[in-house]
Amino acid sequence: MIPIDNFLVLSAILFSLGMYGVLARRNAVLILMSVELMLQAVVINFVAFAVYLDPETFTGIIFGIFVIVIAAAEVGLALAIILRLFRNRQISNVDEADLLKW
Amino acid sequence: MTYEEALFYVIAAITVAGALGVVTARNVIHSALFLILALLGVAAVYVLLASEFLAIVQVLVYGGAVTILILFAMMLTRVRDIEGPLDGPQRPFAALAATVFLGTTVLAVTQTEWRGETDEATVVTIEQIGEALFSTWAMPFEIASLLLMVALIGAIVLARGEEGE
Amino acid sequence: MGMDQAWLIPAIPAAAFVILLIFGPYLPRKGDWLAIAAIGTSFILVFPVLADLLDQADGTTYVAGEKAWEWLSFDLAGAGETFNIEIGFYVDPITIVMLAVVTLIALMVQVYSIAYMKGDSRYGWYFTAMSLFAASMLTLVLANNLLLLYAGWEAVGFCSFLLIGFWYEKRSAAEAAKKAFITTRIGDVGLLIGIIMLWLEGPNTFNIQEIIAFAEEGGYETTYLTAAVLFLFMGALGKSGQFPLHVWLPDAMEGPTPVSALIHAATMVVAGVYLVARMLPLFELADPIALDIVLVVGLITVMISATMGLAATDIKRVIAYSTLNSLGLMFVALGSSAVTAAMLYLFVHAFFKALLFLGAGSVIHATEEQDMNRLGGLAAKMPITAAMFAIGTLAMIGIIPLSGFWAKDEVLAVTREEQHIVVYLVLLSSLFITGLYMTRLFVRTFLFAPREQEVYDRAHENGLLITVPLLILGLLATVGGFVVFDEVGEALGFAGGFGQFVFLHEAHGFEFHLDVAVTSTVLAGGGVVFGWFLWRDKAELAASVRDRFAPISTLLANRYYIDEIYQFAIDHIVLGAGALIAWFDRVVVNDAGVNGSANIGYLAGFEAKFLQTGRLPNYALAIVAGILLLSVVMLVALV
Repeated sequence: MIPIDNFLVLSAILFSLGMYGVLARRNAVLILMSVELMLQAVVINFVAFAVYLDPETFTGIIFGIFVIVIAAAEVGLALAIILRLFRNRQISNVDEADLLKW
Repeated sequence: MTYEEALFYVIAAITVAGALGVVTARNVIHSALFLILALLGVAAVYVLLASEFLAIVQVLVYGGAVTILILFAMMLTRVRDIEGPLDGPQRPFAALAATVFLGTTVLAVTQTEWRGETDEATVVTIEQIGEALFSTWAMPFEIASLLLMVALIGAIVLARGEEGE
Repeated sequence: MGMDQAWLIPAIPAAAFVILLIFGPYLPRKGDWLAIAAIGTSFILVFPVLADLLDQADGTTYVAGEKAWEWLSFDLAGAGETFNIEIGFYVDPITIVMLAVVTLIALMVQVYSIAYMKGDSRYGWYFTAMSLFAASMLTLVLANNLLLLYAGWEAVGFCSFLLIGFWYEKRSAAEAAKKAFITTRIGDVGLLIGIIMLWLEGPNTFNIQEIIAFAEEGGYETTYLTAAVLFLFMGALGKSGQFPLHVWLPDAMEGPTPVSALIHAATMVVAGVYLVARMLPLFELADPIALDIVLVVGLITVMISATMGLAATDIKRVIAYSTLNSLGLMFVALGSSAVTAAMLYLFVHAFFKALLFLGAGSVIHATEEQDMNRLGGLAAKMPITAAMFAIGTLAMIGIIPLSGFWAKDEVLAVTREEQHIVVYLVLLSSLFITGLYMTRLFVRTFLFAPREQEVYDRAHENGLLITVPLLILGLLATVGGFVVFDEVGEALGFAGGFGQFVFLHEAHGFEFHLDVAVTSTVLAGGGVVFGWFLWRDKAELAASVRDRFAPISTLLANRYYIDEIYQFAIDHIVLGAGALIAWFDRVVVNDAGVNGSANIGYLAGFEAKFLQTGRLPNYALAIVAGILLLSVVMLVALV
């Protein structure tokens, strides 16, 4: 069978890639996609812990479901905000939205 | 190496490749397509984790709804017309941060002694999940639906804009 | 009405001061009558207090009256003792003498001032300040504890400042007021230190009698007590204008002349004498060096002031030097533990010195001139003033039977018995000089041909408000000295002469020292005769003497250059230190400290604000960096 470490390392790789995306990308939609990657990594972690270490209460699976739900809501809201930003200022790059500087 | 392990490596490779594509693609549409690949790979990982319900939800919600939503957003914000690089100036720092994070996390994972059985995944059936969700987790479940509704209304209000716009 | 009500004596002028301060401008005649009525009442009230003291006395054993109210009381942190400050009054023969002198002279001076200050733009304020002065001086005299005494002490100093600088539009007056205030303040600091020292090691009280009793039981270490009394003496030094703090008194003559008569002759300047007389038991318990210092300081003051009096040409300044001379004599007496002699001299000095000042004021009022070189021959036009001034002069010189003679004689007798022969001889020589310069003052002002016809034409005898106080003081200056005789004292209701009323350890009757009297009279009279020849007519003789001893006369005319030395010290030491401190304040405290820290904050804020780029990725990177830092730290800690 597959050791838990495999899943955890996979999760870490996905999370790192997501983090890289969030930090490196300029476009808001691309950043959002990277955030989704990070969320996926977290869910993998939850599920792996649930099925390997806590099969009786499997809280991790339930949490995974909630994360997916909330991620969906988040994507909806985030896209609305991105749309709004684009309509008002004709930009979709987050580093151009810098009105809140010093 | 068991065939399951071999399967895991294949799936993990596909997932990581998808994720890598998401964050490095030069074309935003390619990025979105790579995201679908990565999300489907994750769904497969859920299957390997013996959580077929989560895998199904993953395919439905992510592979379907979220991806479509993202593609719509790209279309509406005319992402393809954007000039200039897709990556910001802090890309080297991002790479460094990601590497350091990966290093620390992997170190932490491999150094940790997990209590209990760590080689065998226990199957959690859909029935069990349903029971738990509607008994133990009933309250969070309802709150999550409320949250979804609020997010829905919020998204509509935000996206619709003011009168006469 | 008795000793318990003695507090009324300062309270009445104090009340008058408050009323004048608030309502003065609205009162008829600006309220001068109120000030005079107040001090007059105080003067009258002295008599019942005196009568009470005499009633309760058994022979020459006087029971001092004391009454005190608690003013402040609190627990000292950690000391486990209660700290008390009282407002209390203490009446004994010394107090009575001071009370009589202060109230009487203040009354005379204020009556005189009605005429003298008439038409002044701050007429009302003058009487207000005079009332405050009277109240403060009486408080000082009556105080039963050192703190109240100190309060009165500072208040009279403040009044002195106000009144010297009364005509503050005149730059010299403002400067003189400042000089007087600062110079006396140097002494006052010493006084305060002395008071604190006595309290610190003492019986946790400021009460003078308790402190003396404590000291008599050997409560203080001798060295410590010596230091404490010398600090007290520093206060007396400043207030009474003794060398080396005498420089302010001649300049203080910038004030109105009645002020000089009251404050700078009869009352405030003798506060130092009063203080030492009051604390004399402590001086005696201390190391003998303490009294020796008092003596030597007095002696130096006598000599320098007498010689400086020879060179001054301003009438008031000459009288001021004679005041220093007299005060020096009082300290010489105190230095010989002779309270009786000192207080007697203080008593009669108040009369003849106030008389001299008021006489000089009369001349100044009539001629608007106070330089002797522009006066002369006034006796013909101002007979009463001239006659009274003559009495004052002779009393100051000490010609029998005027009051000054008796007092001076006491001092001389005491020094001859108690001190080294040199002290006695120096005093005798000072008598001769006193005779000289006082004669010069009188001759140059009142006799022979007028030097300035215009000034002479202005001169006229003044009105009753000026001449009556002169006549009263003239009478007192003539007969005041007779209180030394037992018969006179008994006739007045006392147990005997002055020596049986004011004394430190035991009463003593009057003794006439023929040899002392003859010697002093010959010397003083010689001074008068010699002075007459020197300065008669056009003073040709004096001029030739001055030319022959040019260096000495220059030295005297420049007041031994003491003022210049002080000015030099102030310019170079005080101002130098001031410049250094100012530099420190400007550069270190202000520029580096205050502005520096502000600049650090400003620069930090200004530079750091650019961290707020407003760009989301930068914030995200910062968050990640923080998390990574934490995770690395955690990992290191775990592994």
